[in-house]
Amino acid sequence: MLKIVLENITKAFGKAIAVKNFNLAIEDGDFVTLLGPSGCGKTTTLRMIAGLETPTEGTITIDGKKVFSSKESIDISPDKRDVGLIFQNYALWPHMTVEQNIGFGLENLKWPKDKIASRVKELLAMLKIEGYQKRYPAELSGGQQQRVAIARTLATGPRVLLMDEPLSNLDAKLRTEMRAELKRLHKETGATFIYVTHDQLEAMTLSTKVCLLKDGELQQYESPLAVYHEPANTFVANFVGSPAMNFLLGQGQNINLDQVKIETDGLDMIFTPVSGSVSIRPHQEVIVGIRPEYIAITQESSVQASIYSALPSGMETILKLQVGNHILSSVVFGYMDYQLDSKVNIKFTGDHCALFDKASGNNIATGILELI
Amino acid sequence: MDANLEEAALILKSSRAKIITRINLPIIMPAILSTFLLVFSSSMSAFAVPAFLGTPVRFQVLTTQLYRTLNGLNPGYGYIMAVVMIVIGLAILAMNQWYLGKRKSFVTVTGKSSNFSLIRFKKSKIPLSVIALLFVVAIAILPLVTFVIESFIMAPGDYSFSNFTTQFWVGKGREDIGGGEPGILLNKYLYMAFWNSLKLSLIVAIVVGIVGGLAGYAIVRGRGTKIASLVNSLAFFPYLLPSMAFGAIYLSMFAKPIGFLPSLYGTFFLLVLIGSVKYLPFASRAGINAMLQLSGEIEEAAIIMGVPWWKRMMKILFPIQKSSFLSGFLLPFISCMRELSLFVLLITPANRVLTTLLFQYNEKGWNQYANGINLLIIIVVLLINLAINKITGASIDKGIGS
Repeated sequence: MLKIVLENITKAFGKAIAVKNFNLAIEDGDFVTLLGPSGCGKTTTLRMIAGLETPTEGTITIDGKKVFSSKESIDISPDKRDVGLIFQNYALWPHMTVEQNIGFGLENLKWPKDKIASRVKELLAMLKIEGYQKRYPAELSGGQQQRVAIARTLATGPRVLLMDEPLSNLDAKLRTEMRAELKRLHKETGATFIYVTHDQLEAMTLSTKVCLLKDGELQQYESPLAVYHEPANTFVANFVGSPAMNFLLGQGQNINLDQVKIETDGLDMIFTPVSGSVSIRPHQEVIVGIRPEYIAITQESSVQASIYSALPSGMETILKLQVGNHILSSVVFGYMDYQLDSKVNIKFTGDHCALFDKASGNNIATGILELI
Repeated sequence: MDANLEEAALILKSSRAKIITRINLPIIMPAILSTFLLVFSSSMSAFAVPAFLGTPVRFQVLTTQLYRTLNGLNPGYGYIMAVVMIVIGLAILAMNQWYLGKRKSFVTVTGKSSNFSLIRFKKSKIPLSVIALLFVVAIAILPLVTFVIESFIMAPGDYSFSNFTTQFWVGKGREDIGGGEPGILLNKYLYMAFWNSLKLSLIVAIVVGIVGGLAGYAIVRGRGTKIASLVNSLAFFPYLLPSMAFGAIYLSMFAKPIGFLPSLYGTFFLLVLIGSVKYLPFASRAGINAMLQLSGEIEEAAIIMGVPWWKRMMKILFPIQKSSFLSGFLLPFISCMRELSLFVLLITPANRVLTTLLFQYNEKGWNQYANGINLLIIIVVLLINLAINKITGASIDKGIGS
């Protein structure tokens, strides 16, 4: 079992702290994404696992072997960690052809020529770039360069594949295509993937586990679905999902042991947690989070909203609704065009609405919201 | 400068004159001023031109005085002058740095200058082209032709056919001309000096090219650390010192053994040493430029595969930036080939180089010999530049550009 464990990792650049007391355990065969806004320390974390950056403090263990420990002064060089790294700008060597790029690592391991040739051929086929082996990187499109970079990294058969925003230089269509390829590649190679991205959609669609970072601190480390439905705090809730979650500021009060009444500016509601009971202080400041898909347009409700704007895109329509003093976004399936300022009735559906403490931003409970 | 900046003004209906005075000039002002200061300081420290053109009309400048006093009875005065020169040079460069550091410096305003609009000259097209061509001929080609002609003339200024002679090129020595020196192609001193020049330039280029390339690598890789900026400043420092004063410093340091410093005066090694130090800035700039154009990831991709440092250098970094690194060799080589002021104080008869030989002939008034040697230097420099350019694609401008 190959397991990667980061313990109490801290990285400071001079006075600036990039990663703060960070703990993470990655299981064999996982596809973990490090997700967060730029400057949150995700690339630094990846580079520390690779051995290209030295942590200020902490321990990194790969497959039971300590590769870095500040206390024991262990720092194993990158090439002895059995990791591969794919760079954001691919870092292909411009003076080598595709096959030379892919074969260089094997040459360095003193593989015989014929074995290198067959391994290169195998990789070219795996990444669907046969016929390009004599070309130079500059003569390839972005997507092909990306494939070469992946092939070069896979050549030596590393058991851990690190990727630093590998798709961010591709156009939107190609990115979707490569996402599918990467997911297949993960299965085919059986390697552990650690993937850095700021694109929440990439993290959601690719990974088995998402690790959210903010200002160098771990926010949440769970499966994509858990992150989506039970965000640990308002930062995670806001970062994951598009269009973003609606947040309403209000005051809460227990009306009985397992229900909370929330008064927001002109919109009152009852919150029932799915997990059973919830208790808050009287008049506690809270934030209610509702994902756009849980705001339904329906005649069954008496709560009225007016259409602030409607953005139909064919498959779905994003609506901005004005309710009292709030503007909420809602997503409805299909092409719906509304007259601006026309009136509709809305209600909140589903049992994944979230209740956060305003002061800390932390999740208190998730459950059902009922407008009253 | 981005053409869009001009176009933005044009759209707002500004006149051409207004665009130039209100947009272009203010933006490029720092660059102009900086150029002015640098040219001023390099003219200050120039020796060859005032020595050749100024001495006959007794137009003395600091550098020629420095040379006279150091070679005469009052070396003390000379050293004082050297100090003055260094102070002036540093002051000018400090001014330049100060100005560039101000908020009104727009050196970073570059960008795609892809859109340039053509101006139609209409009928004046041909005359203007002719004028431009004549200008180039007058400043660059004519002097070369003059050298050639002058080196074939017996008595200067007389262009009648009978006055032409090959005496100064292939003639045997004649007592009545040039103190019995044979023509330069038969002159053993010339061949010795030529060999010395070539040897010196080659060794300096190799030393400086390697050291500069490594310095560039270290500076860029360690960017942001104190030691990197220290190395950077140290590698650049010799650039700030006027060549002549630099020579004077070395003369004072190595004329006699002082403490642990041996007496190196008169040795070839001293010339290599001063040349290497003086041209290190060129090579380290070239090295820094070469490294800056390479993203660190290019090297990291190899590090993670376990490619050793030496192999990364030879198989990845150097091949990719071959031309930039090579210009770090080429530039010192060519500068060294044509350098006079740096070596003139340190040369002894045994290790004369072409430029100092030229200087001596000129001092003695043997202009035809001097012209011939000058022509030789120009041809050698051009040929080597051309050859390296053809073979490797490197050229001098690559290293210092951008």
